[in-house]
Amino acid sequence: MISLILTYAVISSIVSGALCGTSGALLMRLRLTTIGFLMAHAALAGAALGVYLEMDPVPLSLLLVVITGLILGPLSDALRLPSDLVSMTLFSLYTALALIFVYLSPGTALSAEAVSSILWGSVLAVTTGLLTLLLTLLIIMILFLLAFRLQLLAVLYNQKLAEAEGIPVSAIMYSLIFLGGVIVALTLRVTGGFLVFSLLFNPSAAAFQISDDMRKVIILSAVLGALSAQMGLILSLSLDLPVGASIALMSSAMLAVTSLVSKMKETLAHKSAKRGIEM
Amino acid sequence: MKLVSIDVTREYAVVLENVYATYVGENKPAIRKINLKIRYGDFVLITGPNGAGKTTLLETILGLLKPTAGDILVLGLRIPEEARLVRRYCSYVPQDFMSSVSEPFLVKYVVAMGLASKKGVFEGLSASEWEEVYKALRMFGVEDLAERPIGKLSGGQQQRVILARAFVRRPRLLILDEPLSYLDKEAKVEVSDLLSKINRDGVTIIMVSHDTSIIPEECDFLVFMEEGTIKEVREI
Repeated sequence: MISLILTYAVISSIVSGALCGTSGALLMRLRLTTIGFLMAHAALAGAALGVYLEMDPVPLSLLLVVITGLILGPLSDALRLPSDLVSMTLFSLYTALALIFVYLSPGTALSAEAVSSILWGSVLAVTTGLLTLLLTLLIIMILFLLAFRLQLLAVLYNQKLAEAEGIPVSAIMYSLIFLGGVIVALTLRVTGGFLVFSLLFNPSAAAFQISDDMRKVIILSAVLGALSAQMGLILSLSLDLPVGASIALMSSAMLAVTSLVSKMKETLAHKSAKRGIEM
Repeated sequence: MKLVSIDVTREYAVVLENVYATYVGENKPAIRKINLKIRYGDFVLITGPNGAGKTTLLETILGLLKPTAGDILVLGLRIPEEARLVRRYCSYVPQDFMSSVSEPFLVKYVVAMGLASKKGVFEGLSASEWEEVYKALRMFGVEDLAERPIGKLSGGQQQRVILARAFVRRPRLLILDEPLSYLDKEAKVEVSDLLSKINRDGVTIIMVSHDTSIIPEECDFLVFMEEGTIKEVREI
């Protein structure tokens, strides 16, 4: 039984890391990080509502993410405000709702554990159903990336140019936002609502430091995401620390190392170029 | 009741009749009372001072900015209703194409992306399409930069890459917004000759340039814009 729980924990952390890393790279490149934050908090509020109602938090997280994805554009148009500003307003609303639902949750030991799992993550509580959903999402993400690889690259490079060349930019952007939201909702159990951003944006920030080729950045983000989630899990199990916090520590350490290496490489290249000129 | 008849579309690549366009949040139209007909195979140079509405006119022709009044036909199709289809047969070189140093896109992929709208689901580039990509890079003198990230190139080199991307699409209508702005004088002449050659091959070209010191050899008309309207159309 323990080995099955551990196997689930290892697989779910790897898959969550890869999904978050990939989605983070895409959202970061499209300058949609604010919307990423919004979706994460929508998922958190949904999960908190689930705890309050003593229901499975995952379906409610997904529901709130889908609703948010659907209303963001029309709401922004109706209020004649930029989507970033509307995102920040909804972001504070969802944080407030999440805290209220957590505060109102029945005060049993079970709910305390449930609250803790959505806020800080509890990878050992991953169920077969959730693992199946994560694996399905990974397959959907890979198929999406392969199916629209050239169109996606064009949108990531320059949205205006892609639009002018007849690529359905809005459809691709909405699909990425929606996928990002679903990924966050499903990975809450692994990292927790407050630290999911570390798995979304630290691996992709590290990948952007390493490669000059967007295709490699996407693959590297997935690999570094999976690696930081795995290393975080090992740290958490070895030192008995919360899993979300351990993943955040490892992904931050990875970003620090890649930034340092990238800076050193840049300095060396600059020096050798200078030496070449002097010779 | 639409003003433009079907017969007109056989002769003209672009027809604009009494077109107005206004940006979201603005009260004053950026372009107004625009009447312009461009024949297939024509090379038109649009010029005028900053804020004259030159870029707005290009964006309206492509349906990137919806007209608030008037009728537009491009390649026989209505704008904005059929804009996405029209754009598949056009190439556009925008004014603000510059990539920053950290942008992770290799030159060869930037040009290959030009073929993205013609690709289906799960469809990549064939070997012959990659040949076309390299041919376009060679034509604009940037083949040796194919493996380099675009953000690390100079403004002039980036401009050549974007022109190569426009060319690789084999467009029927080429729309260029200040395509010579980052080039030195020698390169301006070279690229302007290349554009004339593309036009001789039958491609209709609409080019915006505030600088009329170099006018491509094949240029047929000069359109002068000011304060959102066409002030003069001169045959060259």
